[in-house]
Amino acid sequence: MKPHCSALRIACGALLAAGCASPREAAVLDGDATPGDAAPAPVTTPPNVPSAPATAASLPPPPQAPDHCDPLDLAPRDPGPALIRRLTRTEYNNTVRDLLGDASAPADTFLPDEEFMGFRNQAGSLQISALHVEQYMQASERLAATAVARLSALLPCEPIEDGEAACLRTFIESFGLRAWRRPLEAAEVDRLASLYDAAATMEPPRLERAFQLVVQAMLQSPNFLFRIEVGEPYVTQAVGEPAREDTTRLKLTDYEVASRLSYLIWQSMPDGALLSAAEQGRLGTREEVAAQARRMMDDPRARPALIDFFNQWLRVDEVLGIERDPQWYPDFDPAVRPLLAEETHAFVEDLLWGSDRDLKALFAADHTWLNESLARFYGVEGVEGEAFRRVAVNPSQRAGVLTQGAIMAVTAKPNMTSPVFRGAYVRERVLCTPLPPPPPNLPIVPPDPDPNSSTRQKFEQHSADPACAGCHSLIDPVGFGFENFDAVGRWRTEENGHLVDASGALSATLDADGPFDGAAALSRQLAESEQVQRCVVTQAFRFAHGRSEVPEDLCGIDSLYAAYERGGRDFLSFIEYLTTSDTFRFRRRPAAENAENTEHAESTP
Amino acid sequence: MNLSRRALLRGLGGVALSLPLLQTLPRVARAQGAFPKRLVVFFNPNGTLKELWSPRGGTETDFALPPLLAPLERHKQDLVIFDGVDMAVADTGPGGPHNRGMATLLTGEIILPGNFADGDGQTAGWAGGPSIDQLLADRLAPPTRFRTLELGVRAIENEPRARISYRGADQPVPPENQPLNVYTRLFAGMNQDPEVMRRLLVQRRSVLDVVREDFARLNAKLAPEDRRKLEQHAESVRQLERSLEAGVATPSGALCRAPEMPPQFDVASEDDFAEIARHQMQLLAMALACDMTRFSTLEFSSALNALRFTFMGLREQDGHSLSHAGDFSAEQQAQWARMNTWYAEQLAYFLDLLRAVPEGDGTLLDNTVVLWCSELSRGNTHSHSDMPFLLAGRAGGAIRTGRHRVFDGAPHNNLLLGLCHAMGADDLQSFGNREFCTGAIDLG
Repeated sequence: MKPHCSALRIACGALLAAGCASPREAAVLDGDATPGDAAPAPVTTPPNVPSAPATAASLPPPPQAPDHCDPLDLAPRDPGPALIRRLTRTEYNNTVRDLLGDASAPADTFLPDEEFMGFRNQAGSLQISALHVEQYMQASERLAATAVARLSALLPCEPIEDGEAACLRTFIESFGLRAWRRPLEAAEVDRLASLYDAAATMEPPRLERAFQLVVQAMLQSPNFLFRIEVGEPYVTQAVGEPAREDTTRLKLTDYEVASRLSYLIWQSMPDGALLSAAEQGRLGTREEVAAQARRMMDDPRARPALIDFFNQWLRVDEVLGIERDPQWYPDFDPAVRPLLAEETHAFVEDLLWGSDRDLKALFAADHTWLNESLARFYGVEGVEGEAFRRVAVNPSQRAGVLTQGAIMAVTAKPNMTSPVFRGAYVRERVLCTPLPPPPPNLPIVPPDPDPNSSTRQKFEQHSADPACAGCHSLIDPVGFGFENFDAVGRWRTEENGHLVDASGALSATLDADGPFDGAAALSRQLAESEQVQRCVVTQAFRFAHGRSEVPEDLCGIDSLYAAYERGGRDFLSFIEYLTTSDTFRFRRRPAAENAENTEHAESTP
Repeated sequence: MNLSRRALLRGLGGVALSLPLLQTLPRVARAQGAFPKRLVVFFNPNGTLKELWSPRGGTETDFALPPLLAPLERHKQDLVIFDGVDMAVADTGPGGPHNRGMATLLTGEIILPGNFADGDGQTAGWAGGPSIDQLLADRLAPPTRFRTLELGVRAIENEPRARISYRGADQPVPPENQPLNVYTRLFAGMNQDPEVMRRLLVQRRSVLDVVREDFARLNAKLAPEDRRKLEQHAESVRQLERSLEAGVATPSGALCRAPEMPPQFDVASEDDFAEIARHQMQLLAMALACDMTRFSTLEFSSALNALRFTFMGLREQDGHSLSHAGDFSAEQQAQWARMNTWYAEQLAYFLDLLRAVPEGDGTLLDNTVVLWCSELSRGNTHSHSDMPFLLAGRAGGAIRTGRHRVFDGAPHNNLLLGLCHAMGADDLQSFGNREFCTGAIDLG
């Protein structure tokens, strides 16, 4: 009898065996159908919708070395599509902290941010539903109520001397510049100032009431909740030629560049220096932008903000919510979860701001960061005190972030490891290669932990059955390399009485193919790969721009990669370079007819 | 059949509950037959075991409830159990079976392409059209304080696998999973001094008047593709304004009293799942009784959930894993059956709550229709054929209950269309994708 996947109880949560017994055959083997039955209805797809491949016999071709730039193409670089970006929860909290000095973190109770391709800051995914606006309303009321207690400190004028209405107006202008991250138009100031009139009919004191209403109105406005970008015409003039206006692109205004810089490097609003630079028109050139970026990366706010890229990309913070089955991990203490997260955060911080900044070490480093409690958890001796410090690791066991406990734990199940999850993680997150989808309607059953066999044995069928091996040869041999790490990230040499076999192989990559023994060797193999380093750049692009790349971006991403390599893979230098790119400083110009309508609408009173 | 108050207050599992409001809720004074119709969608994920769910033998009106429906025995005369209804539109389009199931369940429309991965790695986007609750709310537009209510029990993910309710194509509506937040939205103003509430409304109105102007100003300047994002925000603000205004309108609102304030929960907790569910059901029943909304969804967890019923002692495998137990895996299937039985118990409890509210000569349950459903028929095959649809309640007399109705592959769009008619939108000719709607199932 031909074995098939449902008999193997394969993990259903990542990628399935593809090309296993057809649903029809599986149904027969399961006893759900007799051989004479009609075949199940085929999956149909309507036109214009991409269909999933029927089988996974069609594997992706091995990646080619990318070269997307056409040296003969002299057209201005297309900045790609850029939707306005709603503030994420972190950005909201940081912004109100910097705007009002309020550290109450109101967004912690907001709906979670919508995630896309691993990132929670993607413009196209972030929504504002009815529930969101209710939460924004309540938060703005609480923030305003707290702020009014410090009214005299927040008002830039003397209400008694200058008159309440006039002072409120001054507040609207100066506070508005910071809250909406640009100077307000006269009509906008007028509208907000009218709240002073409205406050006359409400419970006194009038100025305090009006102040609260103004703050509430500003914080619920799309001008606050979105990073609005309109851009301005981009005019260049070569010597001896007439001025030319770029017909395909708009330049971001200096205020818009300021916001892009601050939300990338600080996940917060621009500071006074940035707003001054914008006001003086000193954010227009590449050099000016780069100088600001360098200054900002020395600010402490840059640390959690840029570390968060790694957090989201590598799924580090998911470790905070993991549960482990007490039957299989009886001494797992949930208190270790924030320590595991801190290990990777400290490790990344050191890679970005420390003395050795080559990001190759992300996957190849022979050290990690531990404190006494975490060291005890790992069974490492000689670490004393609760402060985290750099600790050498055994290079035959560990290398870089992939062998740190957080990553090993989030890519495992509550009761056992999962080579399929781990292999898929490497493929998708580290190599940037999505895997081919399996055929639909395949019966799959996850394996149970078994006190007598090893994890590797449970998944043997994936390689034994040639129909399954087609896809799983891409996944399992990678995931097996991590078998020395249990589901909480601790080193093990045996599992259920079997010696751990952590040999494996990488295949179907640009330049990292080859066998390895153990996760440390695998990690170092990945670190040396151009495909992996290009993937780092691509992931950073997605995080920085709040969107996935489109074909028009690929030449620019090649340039980013080249700069990254030239800079010795120093991440901060790379980010600085990114802020000088056209994609960062320009927007696509809407089609001409829309532009005309826009001008017409603006001139209408 | 009257439920004893003690049984009602005790709830399930012997835990005493306090439901002060249900003891004191007065009859809402209305003319005979003039009570509004309510729709509740009651969802749990990953399918069921249909062979233990469908009545065997018997006739359309004389049948025995099988094991997985046993908890509903006391409500048997209020049920319509369906066999042979297929979710054909769910077998079309991109993505994996869970996502397709979720996106088509209440919309009957083909799922959009996108980048959200299913458990098998296939990707799709959000739903391609409005869900029945949102569509009816727009069409019938009753003057209730809340246009719709979406509640969840640990439906915490922001992906298609955790959404059943859609304002329109690509417009998912997220549920509120925290009972305290639901309580605050619905009832916090209720015990307040009306003068305080009135003043708060005046302030909020003045603030939102100013905010509304920002949309018009911005709309003129933004690129076309950005205007859609802005419009979504603007529409949400309009909805907020309407709900604030409607909150002032009194009777039936003024006659309602707020229930006890629930504690704060960790919405991701497995251990508290049952307790959170109880609070959400009580809050929803109260909201319906007070006519705060007429269209609602209650979403128990999400497709592909990693949810273990630890409160029942099932600590080893989560629901999704259990739903995948092979047909020969007796112990796992037994655990999956226990989970599904628990969901039936929750539905039975919720129906108890509705039945305990008098409305005219009948009860709130008589004027409601609850649609119990899941995004799959069966977990281990991911089938969308012969879906486990069940209706409870008469929708004011529009639905004839106490029936086991067997079809031969009727598309579920037909059932949703029939439900629209029963709810009063009888001018609707089709629901969802027209290719998959061949005529309403008449529920009367």
